[in-house]
Amino acid sequence: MILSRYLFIGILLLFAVGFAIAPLILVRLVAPARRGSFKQQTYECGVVTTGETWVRFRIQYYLFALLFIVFDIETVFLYPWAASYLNLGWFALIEMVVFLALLAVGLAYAWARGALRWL
Amino acid sequence: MTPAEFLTISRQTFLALAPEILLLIAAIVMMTSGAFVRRSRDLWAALAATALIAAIALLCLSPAGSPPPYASVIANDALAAWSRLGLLLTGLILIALAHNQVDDHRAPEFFGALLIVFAGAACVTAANELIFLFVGLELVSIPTYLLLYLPRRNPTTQEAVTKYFYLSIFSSALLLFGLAYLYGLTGLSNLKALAYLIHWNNAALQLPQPTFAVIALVFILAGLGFRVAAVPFHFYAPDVYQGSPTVLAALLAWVPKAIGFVALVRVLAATFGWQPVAAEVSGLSSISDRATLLTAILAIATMTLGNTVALAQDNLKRLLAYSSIAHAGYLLIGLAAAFRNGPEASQAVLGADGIIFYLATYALMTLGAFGVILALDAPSRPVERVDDLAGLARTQPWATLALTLCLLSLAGIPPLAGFWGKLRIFQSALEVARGPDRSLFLILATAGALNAAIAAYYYLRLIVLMIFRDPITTDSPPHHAPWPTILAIGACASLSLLLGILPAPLATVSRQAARSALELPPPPAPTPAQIAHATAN
Repeated sequence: MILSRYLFIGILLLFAVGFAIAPLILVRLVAPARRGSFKQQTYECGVVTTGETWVRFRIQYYLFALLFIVFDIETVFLYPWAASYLNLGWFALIEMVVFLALLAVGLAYAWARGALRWL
Repeated sequence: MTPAEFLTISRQTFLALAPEILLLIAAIVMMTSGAFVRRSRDLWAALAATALIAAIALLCLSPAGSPPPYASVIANDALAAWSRLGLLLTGLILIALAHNQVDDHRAPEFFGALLIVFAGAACVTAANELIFLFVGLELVSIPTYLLLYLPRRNPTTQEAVTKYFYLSIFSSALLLFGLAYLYGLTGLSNLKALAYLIHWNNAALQLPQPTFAVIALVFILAGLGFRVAAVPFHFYAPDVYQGSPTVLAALLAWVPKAIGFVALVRVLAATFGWQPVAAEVSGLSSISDRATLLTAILAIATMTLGNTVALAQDNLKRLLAYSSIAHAGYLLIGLAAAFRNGPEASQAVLGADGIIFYLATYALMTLGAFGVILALDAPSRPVERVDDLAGLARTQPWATLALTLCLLSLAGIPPLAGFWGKLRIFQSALEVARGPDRSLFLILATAGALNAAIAAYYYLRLIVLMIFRDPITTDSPPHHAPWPTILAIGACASLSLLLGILPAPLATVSRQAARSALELPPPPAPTPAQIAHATAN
């Protein structure tokens, strides 16, 4: 009873997993495979790879990644808002201004605290 | 419920939560403006103290009326009112102790986070709903990570904050799991309604899964056991207290313990506690039995381990950490007794009453003890080890007096507040021992008394060291603490003495608070529309 109500979630899960795995299996079956030492190298935009792949990234990248999320979320929210803006009216405009103001305060805080200064 | 009723309830809820909302707004404004305005830490501390005083004023001025208990997320009862008042007052003490413990440029975030901690603590004590309770607890934990990291950034602090962070997240997950099962037991998240439904469980209304209650009990005890530092969830405490600045060790020894025990009373004692109305219900009495036994075992283990390991400590903060673990053990005796309220109305709230009384006295003595260590600690003459206190009576007589009062109170020596706290807890165990659980509670009371005797040794050892031993170094001149620190320590020490001489007002308050937390008012009669709705389904 409860099971049948939630069955579609299970089916969706199966489809999602299958969708990811199926191309991999298909490639294995269909594509010709000629292995060689040159092919095993790390791909780096067509140029010859130099150095190890196990390099340390600067810890500062994480701050930039965090700040990137600010803009990322903004876009995610702005798209549906812009698409249905005409139906929503003034309320939606005020809501979006509040949302953008909150994000702007966060960005300004990080800026003032020196998160954008590259050391 | 009609929309108009909903509107009234939410208005009442917002009015009752005005102090918390004020604190949160003040914290957000401070933390944001701190990035743009460069001012000294004294200004930020003063701002935080002003916000706390304004919140206390709002709390005292707010109307006493509570929103209907079976429909609201908060319970604005005596327990909420008094413990919020107590917590915000200790917030003032902590700000006074912390005012010179942080750099100027980190001060706004530090004091802002401190305000959020106290707003969260106040939310927990007023919570009447599982989700709101959890939000309150997280509102305390998350700023605590920030607080632990802000004042000092050396490897020991980083180890302490990492340890606390991961274990705290883990314990939150355990607690949430337990709360989910408590919800699954009845399908309700309102605490009063949940307790009412469990207590009126009869043939017509069977709980679908009584075993859920056991899982809920174990996981909630584990999740909150971490917050109160009960054995076996205590092991982080000594390392974290030692690694973090003294003022934050004081915060960790007090705030999580206070809200942990208030939450235990609100969630477990009120729900699974044995109550006269439910005497004949077999399902509840078995879960109540298990809760009592489990809490009793935890209490004995916590007291004994805390006190015996404290005997061997050489570092002052580690010693106080084990002492705070031991005090969690005494408080757990009160919780065990709270599961077994006597059948008569006069005994009905003894355990919870003892817990609240003990918490109030514990705040004064533990904050006072940490405060004196903080005040004495100077770069020229650090106070970290027990021996650093030797001969203090000659150089710093007033600090010695304050620390002696706090330590004697922690040991539970008669004319001080700590004595009455222990007495009320043991009294509640002995009172319950007159009922059917005679042997268990006699063992608990005996273990408590023996532990109090063991604990007296290491507290008295410190006092003897301060008064009778020669100081190790005399070359550096005595160092004087600034006035807010002295004021805070003085308040803690003198109130420990005052409440010891006059315990009656606090006893009245704690009894009132315990009764309000445990009582289940008769629910409102269903309206004809609701009956029609129920029969239609």
